[in-house]
Amino acid sequence: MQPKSLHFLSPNIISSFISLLFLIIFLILSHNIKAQKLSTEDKIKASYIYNFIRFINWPMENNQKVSKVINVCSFSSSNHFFKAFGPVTGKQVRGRKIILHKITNPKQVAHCDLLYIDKGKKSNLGEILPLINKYSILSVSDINNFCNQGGMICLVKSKGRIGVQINLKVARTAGFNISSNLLEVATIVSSQ
Amino acid sequence: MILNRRFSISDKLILMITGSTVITLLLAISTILYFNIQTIKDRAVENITVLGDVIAERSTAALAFMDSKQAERNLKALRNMQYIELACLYDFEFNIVAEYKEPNENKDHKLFCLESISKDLNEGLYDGEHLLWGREIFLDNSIIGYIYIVTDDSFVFEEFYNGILQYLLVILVTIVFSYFIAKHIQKFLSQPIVELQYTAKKIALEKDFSIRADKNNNDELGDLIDAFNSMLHQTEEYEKTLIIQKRQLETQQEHLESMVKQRTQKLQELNNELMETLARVENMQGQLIESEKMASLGGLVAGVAHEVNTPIGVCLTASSYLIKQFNVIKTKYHHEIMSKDDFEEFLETVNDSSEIILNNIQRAAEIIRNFKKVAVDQSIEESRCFNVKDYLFEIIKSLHPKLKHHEHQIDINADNKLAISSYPGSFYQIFSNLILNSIIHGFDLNQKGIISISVITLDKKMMIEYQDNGIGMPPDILNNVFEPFFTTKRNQGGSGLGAHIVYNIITQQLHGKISCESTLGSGVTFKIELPITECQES
Repeated sequence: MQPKSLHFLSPNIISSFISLLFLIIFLILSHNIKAQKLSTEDKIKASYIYNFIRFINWPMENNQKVSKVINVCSFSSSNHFFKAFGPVTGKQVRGRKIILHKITNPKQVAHCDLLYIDKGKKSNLGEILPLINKYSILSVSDINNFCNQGGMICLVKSKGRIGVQINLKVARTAGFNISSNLLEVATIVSSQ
Repeated sequence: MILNRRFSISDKLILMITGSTVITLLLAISTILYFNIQTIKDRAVENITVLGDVIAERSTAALAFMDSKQAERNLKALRNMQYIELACLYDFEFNIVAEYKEPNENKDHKLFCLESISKDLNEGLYDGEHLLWGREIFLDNSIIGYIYIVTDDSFVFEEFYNGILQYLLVILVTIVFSYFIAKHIQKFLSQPIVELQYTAKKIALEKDFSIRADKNNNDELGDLIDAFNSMLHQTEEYEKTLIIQKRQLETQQEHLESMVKQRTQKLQELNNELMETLARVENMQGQLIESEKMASLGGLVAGVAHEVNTPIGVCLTASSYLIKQFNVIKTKYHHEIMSKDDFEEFLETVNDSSEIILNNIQRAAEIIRNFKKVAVDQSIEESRCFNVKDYLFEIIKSLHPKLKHHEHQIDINADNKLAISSYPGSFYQIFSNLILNSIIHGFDLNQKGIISISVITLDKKMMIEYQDNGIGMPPDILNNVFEPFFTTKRNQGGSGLGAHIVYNIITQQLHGKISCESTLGSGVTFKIELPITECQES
């Protein structure tokens, strides 16, 4: 059997295997490069969402019994935001610890304090918006006209920079207290 | 010091009061201004801190969301603050997010946003022209950016100068006010002094010590006026006393002058009397000296007579014995009873007597010869040539009658050939006096004394040293030894003229010098120095 197996490991087969190995490595690397490229915008978004937490007070937050955790949920079609937000996880704002969750089903939003809805989940918007308003969840999304549809904060890309739009009426109705500083840098919109 | 010399007391008072008030005020104002500057600076830092804090607080979102437009809008709010020249907002990586510059072109445009902000800037920092301030901007305890503001610090000086103007006004008012107060005080203080000065001048001018200064107050100046008046009173009294004393003195002086005149007249009379007496005394002294000389000559004659008397007496006895023997033998011869033995015995007697007579007559002749020499010298007083040593022996021989009662030894040490042309009588006077003095005063009664006379010549001078080894003299006698009529043996016949005669002869007749040295118990030494002319004795 030995000579046969030696024959099986012929030079052609080895070179084909090495080529395949290189291909796999290239694919992995190129995937990684693509992932890194994408994350610049995602990082900004993640930092914006971290800043929203810092500039916005949740309803009843001044109450002593409020939870010591701020649950940030990502409802996203991709993993990018989840990864970009990673460094913020565990940080404390006003004594509350930020914890990141990934949800796949709109019904999971009940325990969320902030929900980021990715563009890819635009189709789920009709289902998810009523739930948000119900649980006083700060909703953030980069979906177009999200604020006009009843969302609270929209991340709008224009002239190469990501701007912030706030539906102040919805946010205030939900009991959120937004810092004037934030309002100064944001554009205030209303529901249509 | 110039101030002290030139100004009057009232001017000095005004200057001092006004000056010290102004100096005190200046010190106080300087201190206030110094603290004012500090306060103004602190307030400026406070203001810029408040302003910077507000802008930083307002810009947190702009920095968090990197909204540079909003950041610039926030900074533009500073345009109404005229002192702010530069404001910068940075993100947490120190990238400039927004910058504001004072639009006024006259301002310094070299200012720029720093590349880092040190902790010092938190408390504000003055660089001489500007106040620099900066700090981190926090959001939830993490730094999200930095702010840096620069203001012009000219407002500090503006406030300072405004303050100075006010203070200058205060100083001016104070100077005027203090001048009037000082003027008033000066009048109050210096008026009595001026009056006192006026009074003092008046007194000095009129020499009237009855004037008194007026006293208005009972303060220290009042005491001064009292003291001045009391001094005036004393001076007045003193002056009166002085005038009285002066008059008394003048009277006394006149009295004294007349007394002095009288005394002077009396003294003059006494002086004249004294002069006459002195002349008489001198005359008498000369006579005495002469008579003393004669007396010594008389003594010499008596001595010689006595000396001659003995051999003459012996001759007389011998010749009478011879005559007696001659008559005996003559009688025997005439009676023819004369034996050969008788005749031989007579011849023997004749021979012996003749010898005795001859010897004694020779001796008397010698004595007389000696006396003749000395006596002639004493009386003639003429200069002649004589041998000193021989003449000294002659003198000693002539003194034999005085010397023979004692066993004194006299040594003469002189050149045998020394002959001089001088007055031998004077020499006799000198040495006879010295030797007799030694015998009478110098030696104890039973003493066998030694007198030595040594003569040497040197350069036409003769040095004679006369020395005895007697009892010597105490200093008080030694000092008076040449004084006339000075004697320690007045009651024993001393005339007190011997040494004086010696002194006179040596100094006046022989033009020499004599000195006497002696201590009690070690004899007397006379040193005589005479100018001489040597000669050849014929």
